[in-house]
Amino acid sequence: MRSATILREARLRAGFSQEELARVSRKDRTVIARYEQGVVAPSLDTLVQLLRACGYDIPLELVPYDPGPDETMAEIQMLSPERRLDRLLEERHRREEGG
Amino acid sequence: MERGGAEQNGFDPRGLLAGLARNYVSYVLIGALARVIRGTDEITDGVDICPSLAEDNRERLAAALDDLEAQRADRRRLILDDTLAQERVIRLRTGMGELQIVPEPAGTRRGYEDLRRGATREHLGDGLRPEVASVADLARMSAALAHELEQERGREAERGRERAIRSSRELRRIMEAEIVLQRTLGRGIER
Repeated sequence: MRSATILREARLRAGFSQEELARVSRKDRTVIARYEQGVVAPSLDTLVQLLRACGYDIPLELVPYDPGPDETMAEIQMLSPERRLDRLLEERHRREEGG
Repeated sequence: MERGGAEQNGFDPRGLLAGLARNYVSYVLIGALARVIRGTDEITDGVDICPSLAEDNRERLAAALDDLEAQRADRRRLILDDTLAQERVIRLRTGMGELQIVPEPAGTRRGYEDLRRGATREHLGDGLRPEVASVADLARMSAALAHELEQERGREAERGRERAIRSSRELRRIMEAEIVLQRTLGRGIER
């Protein structure tokens, strides 16, 4: 879970224990522990609040989705040869339509 | 997506392969289309094949090229037997896209005989099951092509070399992923 990793990273960079982060953010320590373990995912607003309590912020803006090469390769590997051929034809068609 | 989308943009690889299948041509699918079928992320508008050069297969190939109304890209008259013996790559145009015939691709010895050992038949839909070169052979061909293009000058050769290097790397990553998968499944991998 990405929120767990980023929250833990921000807390450690700030030099806080879970207890200290609980105090400055006015959350229960056990809740923060559960967020960091990925047992429960915080809402986006709560995540931003916790990151700011650590002295960090997370830019939220829409950018075009661009899967990295590894992710694309993994997706393609999941397809059958027949679907890979279809994917090629769809991609060509999409590019031609796009100009 | 409907299959008809293939014909809309002038490239119909299934139609080309069906023309070869109708005439019982023995070949191994190579090049970019084979790489895509093996899992690379690239775009192509041609079909590359390495045919058996046995006499009866050359006759079947000639019949298939007639069937597909294939013409040489350089507009010269196609005399298949002479061309197969003299040219490394025969570039043809058909109504369904480009068809390249490569009797002995870079990095192989005796072309078809070499490649068919690692090739496997793959279902591509519409009843088509061509023999497709193995990932290892495709990587070998890309690496050999990159090496050959090093000796050539010009921007086209440079672009071709970069493409071949990229393909070779991507295929090696696919090979590594396949090996990991095979180990995970607890089976040996034969190469």
